[in-house]
Amino acid sequence: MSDVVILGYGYTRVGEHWNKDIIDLAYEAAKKALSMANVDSVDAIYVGNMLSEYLELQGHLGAYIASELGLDDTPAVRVDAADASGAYAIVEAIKAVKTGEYKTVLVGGVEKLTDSLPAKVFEGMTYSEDRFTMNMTGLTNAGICGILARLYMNKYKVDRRSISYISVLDHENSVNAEHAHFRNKISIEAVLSSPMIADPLTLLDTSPICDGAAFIVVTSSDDIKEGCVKFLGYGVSTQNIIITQRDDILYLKATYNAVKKALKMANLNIENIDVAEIHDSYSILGVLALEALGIDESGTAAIKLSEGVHNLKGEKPINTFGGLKARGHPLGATGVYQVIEVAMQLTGRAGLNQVENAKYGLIHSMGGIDTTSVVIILGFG
Amino acid sequence: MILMERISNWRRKLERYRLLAVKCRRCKAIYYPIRSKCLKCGSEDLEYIELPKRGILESYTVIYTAPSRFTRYTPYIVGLIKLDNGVKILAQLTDVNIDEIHIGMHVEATLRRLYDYGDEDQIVYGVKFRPVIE
Amino acid sequence: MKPFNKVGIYGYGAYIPRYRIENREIARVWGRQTYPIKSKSFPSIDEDCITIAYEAARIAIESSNAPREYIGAVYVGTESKPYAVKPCGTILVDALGLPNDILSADYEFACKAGTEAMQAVIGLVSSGMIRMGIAIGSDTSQGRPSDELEYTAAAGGAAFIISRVEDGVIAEVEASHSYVSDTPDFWRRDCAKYPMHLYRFTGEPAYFKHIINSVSRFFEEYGYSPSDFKYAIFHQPNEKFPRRIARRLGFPDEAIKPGLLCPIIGNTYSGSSLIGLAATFDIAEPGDRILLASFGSGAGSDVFSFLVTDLIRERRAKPPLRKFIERMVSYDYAIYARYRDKILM
Repeated sequence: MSDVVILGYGYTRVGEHWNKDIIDLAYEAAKKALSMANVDSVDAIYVGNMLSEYLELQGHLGAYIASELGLDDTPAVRVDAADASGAYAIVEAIKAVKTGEYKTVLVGGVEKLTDSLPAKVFEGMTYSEDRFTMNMTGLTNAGICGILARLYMNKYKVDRRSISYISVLDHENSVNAEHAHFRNKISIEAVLSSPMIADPLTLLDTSPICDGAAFIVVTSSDDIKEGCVKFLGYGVSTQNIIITQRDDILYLKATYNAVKKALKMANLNIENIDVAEIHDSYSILGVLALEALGIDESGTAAIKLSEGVHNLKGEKPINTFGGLKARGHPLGATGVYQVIEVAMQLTGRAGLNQVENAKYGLIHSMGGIDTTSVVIILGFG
Repeated sequence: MILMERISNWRRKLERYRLLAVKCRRCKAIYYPIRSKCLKCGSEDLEYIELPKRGILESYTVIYTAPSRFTRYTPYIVGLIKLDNGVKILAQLTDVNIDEIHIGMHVEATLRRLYDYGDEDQIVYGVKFRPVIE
Repeated sequence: MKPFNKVGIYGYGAYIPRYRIENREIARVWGRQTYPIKSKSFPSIDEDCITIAYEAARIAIESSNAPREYIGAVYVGTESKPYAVKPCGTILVDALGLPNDILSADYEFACKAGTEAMQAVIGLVSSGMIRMGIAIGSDTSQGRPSDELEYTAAAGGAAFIISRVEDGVIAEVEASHSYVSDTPDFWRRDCAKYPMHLYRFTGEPAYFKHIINSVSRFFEEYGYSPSDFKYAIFHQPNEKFPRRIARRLGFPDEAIKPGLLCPIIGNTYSGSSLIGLAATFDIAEPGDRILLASFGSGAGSDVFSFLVTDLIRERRAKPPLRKFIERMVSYDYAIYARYRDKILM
């Protein structure tokens, strides 16, 4: 049975693109992907995006991108799973190719946030949670994470600092990542003393508002002669969107279920994973994700991060190009950046960020606060 | 889009004003906000009840960077409250200074302005919690 | 006016916001050396006359266990209502779980709007049209910055459930009176943010004349004299006026003491005399007779006589008013200006 493989990829720098509209960003990234894949047409297009209807009054992105690329008669659709849209779009593409529905698919994500006032972006981002609770409380996603951070610190008796080490790690790794939004090192003190966003989380505990587009071309491995990056497994799960109705508010159950499915499909254990890109839209979520993914035991991820276990040269490297905090989090595009970064690791193209002998990689992408979770496992062969 | 929200607010006013919830007639599980189906036993036979108005603070955050409609109220406190019957809800805290908050404090519900749509537009009211007065 | 069928107060409640500003702080900002009272209350940024009315009514209902299904009217007297068109009571009906088969309207008569609401509810209950009704006086009135009245314009409210005496009341309404004339001492035009007033004219020709008239005509008609009353509550725009009127009408200082809260909470406008009444009910004993005389600019005065019954001991408001006063915290003029929406954005 053939695998689904990556033929090519393309991406823009993550950052403020004053001269580019959402469609320009998508075009730049998609063109590069098609060019690297050496194809000039595809059987379908899947696009992940979260806020273009709300912020730009632009919907129907799949078809719009097809038009802009000059791809006529090409089925195209936009996938919405909040900020897991890009990863979910990739899963849809994999399924389509695996079942033989389509042969070659262009899939990616794009997000344009910097044209809007931050307060409006934060308001838009709350659409990943239930509107009733958001309107009644005035919560932001950062606010929910602030509540979780406090619960975590009280439950496991860890201090405030340990929650934020993941931001320091991200910035350490992005120094040599050309496409990253931020490329400056930061200290833990800098994180703790940056402006408060949602107590106890500060500005540097939260991913930035930015633009970005990333696309890959996937196809079945039937006609592929030489080695390439292939999808070994994927898992998608959801849990109750009303977080107070969850049995355990701190448990990222959807992530746990998603990684279980992905590992089973790939016939691997979590210990086999050499590099992981995890969804740290907020520092505490990165900590909780490491635990739900089984990379660290419950209550220990924060400590492990502070000990350097997950640094680039550590035992279990994560977020090798800066993660959501430093590479950036262009919402619907993030999952695709993660996949491309793992592909770069597996093909020895990660430059100064290269993890030695990376054989298996994993990406983890969440919609909101683990309401949707997508895990994709890749390998080279 | 925002225009229609006023009607959606009206539909859910009792959940906002009186903590109206649903209780499964079969297995007695209670849900807030209201849902159509019991998560424990799958029954759709749910009756309306009002949640208790007192509880204990389990966690909280202070919002400094707010979404557009709430920017004029910052900083404000949002708490995770475990009500006297065990049901957990998220709600704003009011009438308390940030340095007075502590996990485990007893709070009670009151009615407050949540936000409005503009000087000439509707005001949305709902439950907030304050330190118990007795 | 004597209600045909006897009615009384079934339950009551009062509420004052937690926020307080000292008069000397206001004086500091505007460069004044003297000021009329010690401090006044102001509402939180998320409070208004409706949320205050809600609290007062909730306390009244819960403290007296009044059956909600008997309540046939909810009238709110206020001069700071959030909607010019949409009565405060509509929100109270759903927020308090009152029956939809109910009368509701907002009353306006400056500071006597609450007692006007009370007169109306007394009439409705006495006539048998409704079994019980709630009359509320609630305000978050604005004081024009640097104006005299900024030192006293405060926020608060009180609610009274009226029922037939057969249902069991904490105090009977013995009789009432109302005296009104066209006297332009203080007013606010429709879209104006702040009211205007005529300074010293608000004294003798307004406050004193109308209260003296309403009370003396009331005394004449029903044969009362000050010694018949254990307590007297007068509308309290400041500390001087109620003390002076009490003396002029022949009431001793002890009579007005429990109901005189203006010095620390300010003038709560439609809540003013009604909050004083609630504070008095908090300590009154069976057999006490209480006089209430409100004053509303424009102008007019309502006067009532209440006779406290044994039931007062079972149905005192919980929490009592003093708990709200005890929790108050002082803030500076900047927070006050921000919460009171006085900052031009």
